[in-house]
Amino acid sequence: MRNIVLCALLGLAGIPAQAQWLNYLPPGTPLKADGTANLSAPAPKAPDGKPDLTGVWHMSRGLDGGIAGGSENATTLAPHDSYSNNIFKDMKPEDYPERPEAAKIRIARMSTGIRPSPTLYCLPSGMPVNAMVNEVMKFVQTPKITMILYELDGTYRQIYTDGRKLPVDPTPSWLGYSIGHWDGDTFVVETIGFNDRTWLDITGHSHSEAMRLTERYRRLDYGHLEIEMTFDDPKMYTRPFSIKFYHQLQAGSDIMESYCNENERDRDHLRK
Amino acid sequence: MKALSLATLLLCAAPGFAQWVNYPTPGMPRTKDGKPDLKAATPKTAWGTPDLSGIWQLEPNPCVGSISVLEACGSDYRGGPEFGNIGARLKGGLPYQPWAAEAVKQHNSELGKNDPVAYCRPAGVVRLLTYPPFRKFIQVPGVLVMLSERDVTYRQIFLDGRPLPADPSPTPNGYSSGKWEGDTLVVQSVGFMDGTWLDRKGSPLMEGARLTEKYRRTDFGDMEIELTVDDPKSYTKPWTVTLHEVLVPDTELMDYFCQENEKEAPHMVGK
Repeated sequence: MRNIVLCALLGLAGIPAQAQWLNYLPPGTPLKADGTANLSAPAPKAPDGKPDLTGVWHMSRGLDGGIAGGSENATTLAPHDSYSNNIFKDMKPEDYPERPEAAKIRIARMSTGIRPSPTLYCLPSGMPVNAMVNEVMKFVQTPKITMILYELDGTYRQIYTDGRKLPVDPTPSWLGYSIGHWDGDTFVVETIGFNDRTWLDITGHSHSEAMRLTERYRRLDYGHLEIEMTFDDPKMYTRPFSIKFYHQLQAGSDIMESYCNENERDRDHLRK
Repeated sequence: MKALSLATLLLCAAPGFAQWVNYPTPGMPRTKDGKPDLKAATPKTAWGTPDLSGIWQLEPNPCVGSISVLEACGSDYRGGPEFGNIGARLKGGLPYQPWAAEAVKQHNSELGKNDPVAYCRPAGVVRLLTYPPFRKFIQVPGVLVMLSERDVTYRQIFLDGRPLPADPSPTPNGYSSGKWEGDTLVVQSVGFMDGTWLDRKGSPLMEGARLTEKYRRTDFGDMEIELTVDDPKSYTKPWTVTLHEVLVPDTELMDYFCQENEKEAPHMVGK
């Protein structure tokens, strides 16, 4: 547990120290006898009977909230064992489905001293990195639209559930065009229309504009969210591949304002 | 104002093509010929309050007798008068403190080049309402979320009755809590950071300011926002302006990241 506290403290170091509303439990939160949130209570339901994903979420290292393997690297943005470090971490290198075109881009990216990911230039991290960083994300679910508000650079995604179809020839964008539907208790999000500038992980794995992302969100109980993401990009990879990770509810917390471009001074000092 | 339009031009980088920009807005009342009925009654939420949800735009300047959009509308980035000058309709103008009047004069002589927005920094709480690109309100129990097309960012207004923080860390959007008084949503906000601009002129907002907004959706297609700024550091007395927002039907927000391929900052002119 100490590691988690340390991790949380250091992870939030870029955010103002005396934060607001970070200890405000929203009305309706199930409580334990000691007055803290009961994260094992059943998943809440929305008025329309669907599971309600609304809440502030943070990637947990292991389902129990503990840091997998007690990683000494827990205070960094991307522990060595995380998908944000290597999206293919579950595979043997010889099984990576990376096509030569994709490998070429990755190698070019990693061969410069500065490793020029969009994040370095205060541009969006994109998917899946947005869901794996130390900054929290907040779901706001309504019957016709679900928003994901990211603390990371104060940006958002809109997921439409009003029956519209995905656009046919979308203008490439950083976060894509998303529609969602319910498959039992699982919220399934389909997204297309990405640009090819975001990285799948910090080691530069690339994707093309043809990438289709399928996300499956399942709220296991009050405090835990299972996230499965499947990437289908036939131009860059020989087959679709999936990753699965978990978020823990940050009960009584909220998103803070965090703008990469505020007082940005790093770029001038980057190694070429 | 002419001096400022150059800098304004530099900020126009929104994408030209879009998806879902012709998708009919769900729940939109329509006239017999299928057009959006913007004069229909104010919609209500399932829990009985007026519903402010929708895509909104500060009512743009009329563009009449246009030789060019730029000349007729003051900008090719069509906005309302309060975008340029938040006190545009305020008799006698804004009651600047002497230093603030001096700062605005200075910004004008510099063609507004020190606008935080020119460096892709947040536009701040008031310009989130007045910027020409659209904003979308989504109202759910407990919170009103404002999604801003500019820089794909958002502001939260809590509606769950929480008290404002006592000693907030200063931020561009502040901390907002609102409650319904009849048909009007009254929002109180504190916790702003120094250096936020309220308009293109550079009218300042300083730490310690308090903002009161009164949102009233008068019919389906119109919303009035009465905005009171109480900022004794910058202004000799509190002042109030009313913003008129119009609903933009059958469209959607696009991704617009200021920082994408940003090459302008080194070319800014102005002394």
